[in-house]
Amino acid sequence: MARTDTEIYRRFRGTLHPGAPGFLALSRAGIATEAKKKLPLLILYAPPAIATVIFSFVVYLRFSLQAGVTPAALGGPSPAAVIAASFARTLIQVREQIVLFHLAMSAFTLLVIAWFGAGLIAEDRRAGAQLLYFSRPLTRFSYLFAKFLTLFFFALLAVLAPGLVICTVATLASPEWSFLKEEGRVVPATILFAILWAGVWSSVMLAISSLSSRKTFALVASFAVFMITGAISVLVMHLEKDERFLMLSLQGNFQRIAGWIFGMPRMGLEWDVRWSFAWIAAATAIAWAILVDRVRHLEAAT
Amino acid sequence: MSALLVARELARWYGPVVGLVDISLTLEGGIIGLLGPNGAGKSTFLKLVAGEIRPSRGTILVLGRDPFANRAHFAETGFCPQQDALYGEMTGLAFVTFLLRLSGWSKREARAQAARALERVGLADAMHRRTREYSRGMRQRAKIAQAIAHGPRLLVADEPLSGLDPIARRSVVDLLLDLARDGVHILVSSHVLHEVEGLTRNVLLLHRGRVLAQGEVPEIRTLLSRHPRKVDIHLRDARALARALVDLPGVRALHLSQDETSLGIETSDLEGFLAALPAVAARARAGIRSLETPDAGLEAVFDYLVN
Amino acid sequence: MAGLARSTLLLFSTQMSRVWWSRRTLFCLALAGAAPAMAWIVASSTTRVPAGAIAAHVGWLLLLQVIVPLLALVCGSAVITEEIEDRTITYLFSRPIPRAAVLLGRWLAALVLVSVLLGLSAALTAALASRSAAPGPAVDRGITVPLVEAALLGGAVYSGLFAAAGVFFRHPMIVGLGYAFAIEGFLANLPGRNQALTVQYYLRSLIADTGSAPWRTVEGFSSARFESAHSSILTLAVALLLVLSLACWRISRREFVLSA
Repeated sequence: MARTDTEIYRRFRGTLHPGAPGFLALSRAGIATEAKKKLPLLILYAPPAIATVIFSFVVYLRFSLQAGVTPAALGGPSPAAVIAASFARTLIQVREQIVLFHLAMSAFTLLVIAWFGAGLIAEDRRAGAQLLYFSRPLTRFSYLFAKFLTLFFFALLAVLAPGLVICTVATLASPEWSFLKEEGRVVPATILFAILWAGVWSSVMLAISSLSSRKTFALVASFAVFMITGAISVLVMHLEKDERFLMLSLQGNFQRIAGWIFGMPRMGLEWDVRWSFAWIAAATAIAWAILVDRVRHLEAAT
Repeated sequence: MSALLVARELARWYGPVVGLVDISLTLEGGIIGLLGPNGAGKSTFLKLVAGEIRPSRGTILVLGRDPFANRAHFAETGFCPQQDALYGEMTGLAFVTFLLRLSGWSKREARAQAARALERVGLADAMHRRTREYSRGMRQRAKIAQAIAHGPRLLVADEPLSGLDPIARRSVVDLLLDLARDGVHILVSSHVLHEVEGLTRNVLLLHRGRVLAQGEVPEIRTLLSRHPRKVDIHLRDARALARALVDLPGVRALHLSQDETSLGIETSDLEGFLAALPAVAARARAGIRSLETPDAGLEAVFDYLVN
Repeated sequence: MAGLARSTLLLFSTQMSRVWWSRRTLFCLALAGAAPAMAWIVASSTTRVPAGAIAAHVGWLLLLQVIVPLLALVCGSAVITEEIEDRTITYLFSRPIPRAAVLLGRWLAALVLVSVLLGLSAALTAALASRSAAPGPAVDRGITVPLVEAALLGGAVYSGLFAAAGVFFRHPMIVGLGYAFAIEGFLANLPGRNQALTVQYYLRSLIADTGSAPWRTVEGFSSARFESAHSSILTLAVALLLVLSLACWRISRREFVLSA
């Protein structure tokens, strides 16, 4: 009996063969594709890379001075070496350097996430690529997870790698491994904070991408979220003269969490850290709810 | 008559990617089929002709003018681009009317002329619908409508038949033939050879950014002397005819089928062979049922040239 | 010249009819609504921040420093880039019109949208801030007028700059984000004459010259030296004219290669 079948997408009904999970192949392909674009990589990672060198140098100076090396011996009799050395004396803690790095670089690391994440779902939808993906034995969750892993990789590269470099320099420069012995918990703290930061922002960015019809919209929307929540939290803080209003922005909450994870009460933000965790958990949950809903309806978009 | 197009040492590259290399040619007009496999440089050539891009080296003159960003050229040229792009929120009528108004037409005239152009491409019933609701074939026809609406002297059409169903394809081919009869020069690209064969015998063959051949297909075929012409004959007694043909001048090879009812001949002089065949066949009492020359067409020419 | 004016007008009117209900406009509407919404929330919930301070803080920190450049970026960078991304620029550039008309006509339509949204946003911000019942300076003409003026002027200049960026750069959105929030953010907050290289400095000057006392409570208004309002407007107008002229010259010569 004759039959017609005109639908574009058909659910996979075959047998799956065991092998590498589909999301790994997809995320590997995503990373490889983005890694081929050398100029954006160079431009986006240059500021964090330069900052890593500077912060590492300050850490190196600090331990060198601790070991009894004079400023002149470090860089000759140049005024720059003397200034750097005196700067290093005032910045005693490696953890402070790492937190300072995160705060100073937050706009640039967010630009990295925005650039690599903006098009991940928006461009797939625009090009109808999801029709190709979903005609393979790939679940929607695998698709989402693959996109998340791709973005998470680039985000982690921007935040974890600098932190680990600074820790490595501190380890090697500290006399008799004093950094590891005395401040060893900075290393897991660095890893934990970087994973948290990259995970939350990657989720938010992917959600924005899924809501956008093109990459440029997603890019500007992510900046709008970042800049507007930041500006609102700062202006209410100024008006009400109450720093707890910094909680209104994700970056304010990350600042508080950084202070808690790295054990720095001097960060000056006094509200209960559980509020910040609740806030970023809520943001992540909302992001994933949007993602699941948008990806569920992807097949209808051509 | 002045030439439609003159190119001298024309080259175009996109960074490290070469689009066209060292093209020198003169096209006289009429319908010219631009042929070549994907990546041959057809679209690049058409974009240069349409004035969308400028050469990296060399010169191109279309209707006596440098086409790039040349308003006089645009007034006389219609360009149907390859990309499947329209203003989605406009109706077909609004789209063509808008572009006609940019060509200097008054609002009323533009609207009437746009409606005529859309009717001509078979979109009369759909002209008040938004173009984002159009099918691929309808979008293709809307693109053709905007290219012909202002009555150009030259129509540059990049793959105008792609995405069309066989009926729409036939009607577009008829439309292009109509335009040509009205004196419009048409430069049309395709990699579907039989489509072009239905339009014109005058072709420009591109491959890897270079011109492989230019002119009438039979003439080009004749120039390919290293490839003997093939003739397939179905007949009652193939062995008898083969015996009679073996000494005929120009015959290079004979292929006899197992059941001896067909004979494949390769000859370097097709015209001489066809002139002599009736007499030879009559003498051999071969009983010819049918005769064809399978490699005389564009496809064979293309195949020989590209491979 | 008549051809340029006619084509510009035609492209402007067509673009105006297309622009209103696009997703971009809805996004811009949401963006423009953030400042009045914030003013309303703060004014409704506070008992000690006066209306003038709310309008000045929301007006400067949120509207003029963030929303004006962002909204202008969204609309301005799309002037040419949207046609390139949608691959419809071929239709416009294969018509017998001056190419500059495409830039000018579409930018004028963007300018109308940006001006309407930002003008309304500024006026509403001032109006909703005045709901605060806290004692202190109220919202007066010295707050509303310079705020609306600065929002309109900022919108015009930024949208013009970003529209021009679309002619010169392949990714004007990135360039615009970098310019508005990295370069300007850096130069405008560094002490010295380098501030005069930013649009923000002239907007701040415009407010400082004509605004009332509550503006001085906003960070950055009390310490720096400012230009007069006339000089600020003139400088920005000349800069805008110069950039648009350069962009018109460039668009007439540049080829836009589209992928198939």
